[in-house]
Formats: sequence, C-alpha cells, structure tokens
Amino acid sequence: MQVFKVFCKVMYKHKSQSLMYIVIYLLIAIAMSRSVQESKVMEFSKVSLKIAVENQDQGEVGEGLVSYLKEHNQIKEVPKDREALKDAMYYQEIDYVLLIPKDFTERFAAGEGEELLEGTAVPGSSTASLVENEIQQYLDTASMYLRAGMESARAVELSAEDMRQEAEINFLEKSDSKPLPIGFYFFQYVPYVFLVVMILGLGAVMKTFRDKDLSARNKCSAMSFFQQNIQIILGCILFTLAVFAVFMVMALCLTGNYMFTVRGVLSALNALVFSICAASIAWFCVQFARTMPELNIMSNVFSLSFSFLGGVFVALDLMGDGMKQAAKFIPSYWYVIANRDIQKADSFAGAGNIYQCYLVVLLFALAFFSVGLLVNRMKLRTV
Amino acid sequence: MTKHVIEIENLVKRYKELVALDHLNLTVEEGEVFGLLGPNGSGKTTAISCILALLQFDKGSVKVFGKEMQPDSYDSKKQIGVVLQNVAVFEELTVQENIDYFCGLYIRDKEERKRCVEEAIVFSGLEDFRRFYPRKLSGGLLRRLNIACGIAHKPKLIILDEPTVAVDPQSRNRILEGIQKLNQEGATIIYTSHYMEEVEQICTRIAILDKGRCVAMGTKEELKAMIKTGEKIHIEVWELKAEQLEDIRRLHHVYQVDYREGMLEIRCSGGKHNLIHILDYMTRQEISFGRVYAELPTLNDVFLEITGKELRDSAE
Repeated sequence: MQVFKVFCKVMYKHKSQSLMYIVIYLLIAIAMSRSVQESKVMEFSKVSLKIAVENQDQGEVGEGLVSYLKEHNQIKEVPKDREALKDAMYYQEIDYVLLIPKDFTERFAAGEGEELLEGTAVPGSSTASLVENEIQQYLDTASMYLRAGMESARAVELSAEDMRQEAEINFLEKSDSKPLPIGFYFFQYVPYVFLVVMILGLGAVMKTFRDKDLSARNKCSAMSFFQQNIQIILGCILFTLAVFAVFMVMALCLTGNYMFTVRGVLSALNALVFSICAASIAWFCVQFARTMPELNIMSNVFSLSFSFLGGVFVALDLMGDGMKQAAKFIPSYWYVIANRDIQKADSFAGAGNIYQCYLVVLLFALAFFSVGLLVNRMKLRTV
Repeated sequence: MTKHVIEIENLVKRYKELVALDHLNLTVEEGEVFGLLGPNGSGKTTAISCILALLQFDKGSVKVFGKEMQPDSYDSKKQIGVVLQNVAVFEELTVQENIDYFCGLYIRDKEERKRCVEEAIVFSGLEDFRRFYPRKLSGGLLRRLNIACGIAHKPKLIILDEPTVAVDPQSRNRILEGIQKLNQEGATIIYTSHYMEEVEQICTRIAILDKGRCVAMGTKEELKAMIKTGEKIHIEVWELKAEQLEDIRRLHHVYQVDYREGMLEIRCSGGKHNLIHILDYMTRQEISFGRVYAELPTLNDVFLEITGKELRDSAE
C-alpha cells in the first residue's frame, strides 16, 4: 500500500486549504443555527410604549387623548427637572414625552392642528413615529367630529369609540409556516463547501500524482499501473469519506436530534451522494488544470456557479422558469430539491422522489468521471 | 560469454513528421557503463523512454534481459533503476520518505526496504538531509536525491538520463564516482549525457547519436581510432607568412592548419614525432613562438568528424 500511504501523506500536507473552508463553514453554520433558533414564529401584537405626558389642558380633547394613549401604552409622570428627564430618556425608562398645552381643547376646536402638541423622542428612535402616528390618528378623528359641529365631549366620546375598533390581523399560510429545522439550513449550503474542498483538497493530491515526471517515474516501477490506480482511488474514497465524516460530526453537534430522525438520515445520505459527485468533479477538473492556480480558478468557477444556479445560495422560488430549467443540468439543483423535499418526508418509504434526486446526482458523478477518464486517455495517447 | 542486457533492433519512433529515432540499433552488455552521447534532440531520452516502455514506438524491437519490453514487463522493471532527466520526487515528502516511497515500489519487505533506504542515503551523501523537504535542497543535492530514489532497490540495470544537468562540479564528481561504484558492485549502467568529458571519464562503451541514428559506437579508443585526427597541436605564433603556413601544411602527417589571432592549430593524423617536426621547421625558419601544447582527440573531435558539427555547441 505504498502509493496509498503516500497519497495520505500528501493529503495531510494539503489539509490547510480544506480545513480553512470547513472551519469557515462551521462558523457560518453555528451563526446560522443561532439565528434560526432566535427567529420564532411571528405574532402580531401592538407595541406598548412608555410615554411621559404633561397635560396642562383641562379640556375634553386633551383628557381624551391621554385616555386613548393609556389604553395601549404606559403613561408616566414627566420628571420634575430637565436632567432627570434626560436620564429617563437615556436609560429608555421613557420612550416619548408629550406636552399638551393650556387651552388645547379650545384652540383645537377652533381649527388649530396637532402642531399645538409638543413631542420629544430619543434621537434616532423609531418609537417617535409610532406615538406620533397614534396621536395623529386620534386627532384626525376628533377633528372630523368637531368640524361636523359636535360638542367637544361628544366628539371625544365618539373618537374613543372609533379608535377602539381594530382590524383583525392573520398571517397568510400560518398553518404551513412551521419553522424549518436547523438541519435544513445546515445541509442547504453543503454543495458549495463540498465542491471547494474536493476540488482544492482532493484535486491538489491527484494533481501531485499526475505530475508528468512523477507519473513517468511511477510507470517505470515494478508496481503495476492498475495497482497504483487502485491505491489512488482508495485514497480518493478515504478523502471523500473523511470530509463527509467531518460534516456529519458537525451536523450532530449543531443539529442535535435532527440527525437521528428520518429526515436527518435522508439529509446525510443526500450529502454523501453529493460528496461522491463533488469528488468526481474534482477528478474532472484535474484533467484540465495544469497548475494549482488553475485548479483554484476551477474550484471557484464550479463551486460558485453550481451554488448560484443550482439554488444553493438563491432560493429556487426566486428563479425564473428558464433559469430553473437550466438548473436541472446542474447536480446541486437536484441536491437542493432533495434537501427541500426531505423536510416534508416522514418515512423512508415515502421518499421516492428524494431517491430519484440521489440517482440523478449519482448519474452526474458518473458523467463527470467518464468525461475525465476520456480526457485522461486522450492525453495519454498524445504523449 | 557476454550477456546482452539490452538489445535494440531497428527502432523507429516518429512524432508526426519528426523522426526521433531512425532505425536505431544498440546492444548493452552486462557489467558495462554504456554511454549514450549526443546533442539535445538527438534521440537519447526518446531511446531511454522506449527502453522503459514509457513510449510506444513505430517499428523495431527492444529487449531487456532477453525479454521483449512491454509496459507490463514488471519482472524486468523490478531489475531496472531509473533516474530520469527531470527530478521526479514528491515535494510533500522528506528526503527519506521519498527514497522509501520509490524503494517501496520494488521491495515490499519492510526491514529489507529500511536497510536499502539507509544504504541509498549513505551512498548519495544525504545523511544530514534525510528530514529535509526537496524544496530546501540545492540543485546538486536534489539530483543526488533523484539518483538515490532510482538506485535504492539495488537494480541490476541502472538508466541515468542526464543526471548531472545544472549540477555544481563538486556534486557532479560525487555523482560520477557513485556511478562508477555502482558499476563496480555489479550494476550495468546506461548513461546519457551531452557532456563528453563525463562520458569519457566513466563509460566503457559509447554510442554517439545524431538525429535519432547511432553514428558511431565502440570504446572511446575505438571511436578515436575511427577518425583521422591523431593529435592537435597548438602553437602561439606572433607572425606567420602565407608561404610558411603552406610549408607547415605540407609537412608529413599534417592534414589541416588554421592560423587565427596569433594561434596556430595543426591537426595531424596518427604518426610519431609530429610536434618535433613542426618545431624543427619553425626553428629553421626562425619563427618566434610562445606557448606550445598538444591534445589527443576528444569525443567532440569524433563527433565533429563524423557529423560535421560541434557536439557541445549544438548541445547548448
């Protein structure tokens, strides 16, 4: 197993690039899993703000406004001195300060607008607009009744009644919007990192063995060419399985019980199938790249194009029909489809379409391997 | 009875229009240091590649140890050590690991391999560099590593394709001494080079290649005997008249005279006392002269006479 041992040694020497991508992916996966955990199901609820009100008006409209605000917000006393007020706003004990001036009711009834009110918010805070919006709505309603000739008291009463009417808010497709498991997000981006790691890691090792002089020297040896190739293939399998194993350990750590579910197992199988395809693409690239920088370029071209066009980075739903049709000729598309469908699968028996996706990815692997083999044969003939 | 290690008959190799080997015939006998001499592009490396079955040839036959050489002639390959023109080692492995790898392609037994690797390291003078990676080695050390990788399994036939290219004189001498030592230990050597001094120094028999053909073959003495030049005499002369030059040309055994930039070069065919005759003439003619020296013919002279061109000049 001389060739296999050296394959492993060379692989070990080229570990840094592969590890770098794996570590970056791990960090992104950790960050992503946290953000998924934090983003709970959204529910609509009115925001309650802390509003300090100084009502110098003794009229009905001023009182009515305060009563209305009190319904959804916490009304607080305005601190006595200016410094205490600043501190209260700085420490967010108060979100908004509202001053209702003297004779507000009379002046408002006489046609003056909301400019009579004095409001202060924490600079840069979005709460100001919320409060101002509420005040505006209340005053517009009251103004409408006053202009219709009603008494202030009646206008306030009717305004309060109107403002109590709220639209019922429902989330569309709420029943289907179950949060996707972390596993989905973890496995979604696997094609990109597998392609980069395989092309750069495995490709670099294969490139070393395919060096013109080393290859000639190996052919002169007493070990058969077949045996040498078998050992190189064994090395490739080991590398592929090692990368896959690293990702499975990462998946176990980050997704927890997900990996012990039907979906977890199907996701792992999906990743394994794609890792074989990525190894095959690495073999294909090695046939064309003459130097390491060229291999680097090819790794970027394949990983980025397959990830963007295949729906890894951009959701397939956002793609046009033409683009989706084109994406069918890319293995990562079938990986993404399988990853999406896995989240709906409840049993192994009911995952027929997922197995079809595996098969398509494996066919891609076979195609890349065969083309690589053909190019390799042609090159050998021209020596 | 001498045993043929390599027999090449009517070997033809073409690269499209270019004929790299043109009906090449060679035999290498056991225990020889056989030199393949020729300028770049003369077909030395192509011949080696055909011997090793790295290249398919168009016509002819190559037998190694009496058997037709094929890509899968692993029994024959087991007895061959190869040092190719370009250094072929793994950049990712240390000196020791590289030798162990190549040795391991021939020897499976761990203990035996360990012993062979150690001997190859000592033989190549790489004891102090065994843990070095190839990129840390000088050109000379790298060449020595290349040789160590090729000979570690103690082959019966060692093929060295220009192993001293771009090597400092010290390393070159060490390599040449090593090759002679390997030969003394029983290995048959095929040595290709375009450095005629090296070939003259170590080879017991030489084949001169030009345009894929073997233009001459034999021991260095036999090769030198094939040509007209017996010796070359160089005399520093400050002034020489045309008639005096003509007189010298008419002297016995002198067949070519050149006078350039104060240096008189006289080529004589075999014969004794040529220098005395020339100096005697010059004394009689009262021709003043300075440095005088005589040279025996070199392989370059052989090549020059046979092909009409300089070996070294066309090589570099």
